[in-house]
Amino acid sequence: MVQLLSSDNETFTVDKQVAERSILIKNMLEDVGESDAPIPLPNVTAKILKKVIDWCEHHRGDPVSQQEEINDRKRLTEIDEWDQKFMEVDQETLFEIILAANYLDIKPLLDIGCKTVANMIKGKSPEEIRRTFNIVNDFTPEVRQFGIISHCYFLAMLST
Amino acid sequence: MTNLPPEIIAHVLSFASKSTLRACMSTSRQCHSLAQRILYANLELPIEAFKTLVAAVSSSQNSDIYLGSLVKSFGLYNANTDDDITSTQIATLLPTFSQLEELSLPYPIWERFPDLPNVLGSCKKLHTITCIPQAIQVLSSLYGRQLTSLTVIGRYTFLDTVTEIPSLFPNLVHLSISFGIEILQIQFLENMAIHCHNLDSLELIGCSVFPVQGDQQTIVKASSVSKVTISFANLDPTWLAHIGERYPNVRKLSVTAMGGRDRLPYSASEWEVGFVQVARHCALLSELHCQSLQTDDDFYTTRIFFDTFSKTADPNHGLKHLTLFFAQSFMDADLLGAAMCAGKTLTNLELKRCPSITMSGFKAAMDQCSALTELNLSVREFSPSILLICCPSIKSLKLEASTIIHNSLDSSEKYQQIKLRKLNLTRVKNANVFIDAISPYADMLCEISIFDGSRREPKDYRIHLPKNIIHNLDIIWMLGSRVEERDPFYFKLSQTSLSGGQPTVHWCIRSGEPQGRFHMVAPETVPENASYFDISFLSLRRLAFNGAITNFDHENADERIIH
Repeated sequence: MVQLLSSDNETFTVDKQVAERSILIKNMLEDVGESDAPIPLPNVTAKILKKVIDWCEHHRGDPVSQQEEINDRKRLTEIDEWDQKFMEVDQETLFEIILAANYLDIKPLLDIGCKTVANMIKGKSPEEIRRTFNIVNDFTPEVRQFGIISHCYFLAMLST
Repeated sequence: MTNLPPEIIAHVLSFASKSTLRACMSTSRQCHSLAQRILYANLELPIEAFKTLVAAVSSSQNSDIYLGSLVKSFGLYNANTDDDITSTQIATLLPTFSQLEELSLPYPIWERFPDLPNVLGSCKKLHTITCIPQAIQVLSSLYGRQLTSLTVIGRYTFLDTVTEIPSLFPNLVHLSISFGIEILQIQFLENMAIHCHNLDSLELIGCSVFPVQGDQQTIVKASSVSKVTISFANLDPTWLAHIGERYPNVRKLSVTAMGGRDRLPYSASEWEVGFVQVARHCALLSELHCQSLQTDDDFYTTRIFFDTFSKTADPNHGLKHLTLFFAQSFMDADLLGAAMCAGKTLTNLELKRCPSITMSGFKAAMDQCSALTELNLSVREFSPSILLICCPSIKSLKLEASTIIHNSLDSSEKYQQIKLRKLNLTRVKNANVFIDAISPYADMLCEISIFDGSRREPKDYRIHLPKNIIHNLDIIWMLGSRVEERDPFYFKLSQTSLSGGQPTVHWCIRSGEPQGRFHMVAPETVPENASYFDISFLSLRRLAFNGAITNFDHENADERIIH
């Protein structure tokens, strides 16, 4: 068993196999060796850590990522049913899960999170995407008028 | 509000469609460059767009050269032999792709410029190429050691250079040769095994071969190879045995044979030798596709096949994918045989040419296949109730060349929700009947493909999609048949169904002809006032629109882009 300490000082006890879905924790355990001291995770709150542990519990038996799937050309946006349900959270939580997965180095969870966001912005207008990501439109008025439009048009034509 | 850092936004965008990426480009400077990086990474252009791009690059100063360095994969399509593309045009664009990793050019371009690799210059990262036999020599002198993936497309021309491939490209991981080699000798496979130690997948398509000699010496085994696809013009069963022996670690094996010896089919006992060798040597085999194997006795041959493989069935390494297509027929008993021989490991099953199936036979087979998620059948007749009763847990169903019989569902009976996500109806008659019948039970359906429907339907046939399933649909593919000016095939969506739909509804319509390729993504935002959307899409050649469309004038839609 491994003890994990969230940023708000809550301790979670999990199976070693479950904790090692996180490459960060796996490497830490290898470096430190057997120890009873909890592993501090200063970037993850208890609420999010609990979600992440739930995910790792469910996926504990998964084969470690297959090389073949890293074929960028045919990236599947399909998400497994269980994961879809898992990701049915408010946007704030979703983003925090993604950041935690990134910090803890859990590639499959990061992928699922990013796919979920990609599905969220599918078919949205630039303005809606800005709101989703909290992006500030920093184009100068001239660019807004000409540059982007002509460039996008060009791309539209190229990529059909 | 949490903000995602740029590297994570970039990761999100790597899963986004082209139209989403285009929308992202006009959100902010940072997103613009992130999205641009992904959009340009895979540049696949029709020949006309290639010319436009060349013109743009040669007239602009520096920005496009920068963009050229973003291109990692470049491909051209829609090329004809009579295209007036010039070597100057090629020499303008290709050298700007300094970071190129993959290059795929069609036959006519290579034919006119076989020394094209010289123009490319030193692309240090280039590892994947599609070319013709005449270009092999030049390619090997420039990139012989760095190429890991080579696809050679011939046109029934035999060149000695092809037999030299193994020694010229020793680091190949993937090799595909199609329609090029008139006579392939067993020596070629032997050389591959000797020189290419990293080879993982081998594809030989449409080649004719010398028969394997009976007195073969010891075979050099190619243990790195995990995927083999061979479709020879005259594959005989001894080849199957040879493949089994040479590639002991093969996981995916696909064999297609066209004719028999002297146009006579092989006997079932000859096939038996092949099956037994494959089953004996290839313990890791999980995907097996056997198509058009010519035999004098289908019934007996299929029996032998199932017997052989059910003996070796191992719950850990059993077959996961199985495709079978013998020349004649399949029946219920064969379904059961397939189910038995692959046991509980089977996830994908494809059986072609089933004259008929019965509910009870089908149910018995499906009960054996608890892990099955994908079913692909070409059966003369099929009814919606077979899907609802026998295989409610499959996620993907493809029906080919079938007629849907409408045995009205027993309304007193409650069917459970099925898990179907993808439905493909190819050359299916009465597609509407099928879709209407399953729609109350198919909440998870998110992709419908209807291909070549017009061939078997009356002229004014229209596909209607019921309101309740349209809300969940992500993708519709419509693939037209190769029709001349006849048979318009309509696609009609009513406004009521669309306005209630989720914003993620995403429609794609593609033509089936490689020449008149068109791709439509629309309408992501459905206009409030659109009453319907009705396109006789076979008359279109290329069309893309994105955004609100109120009046879509399909009469003049040829080559138009609405943005």
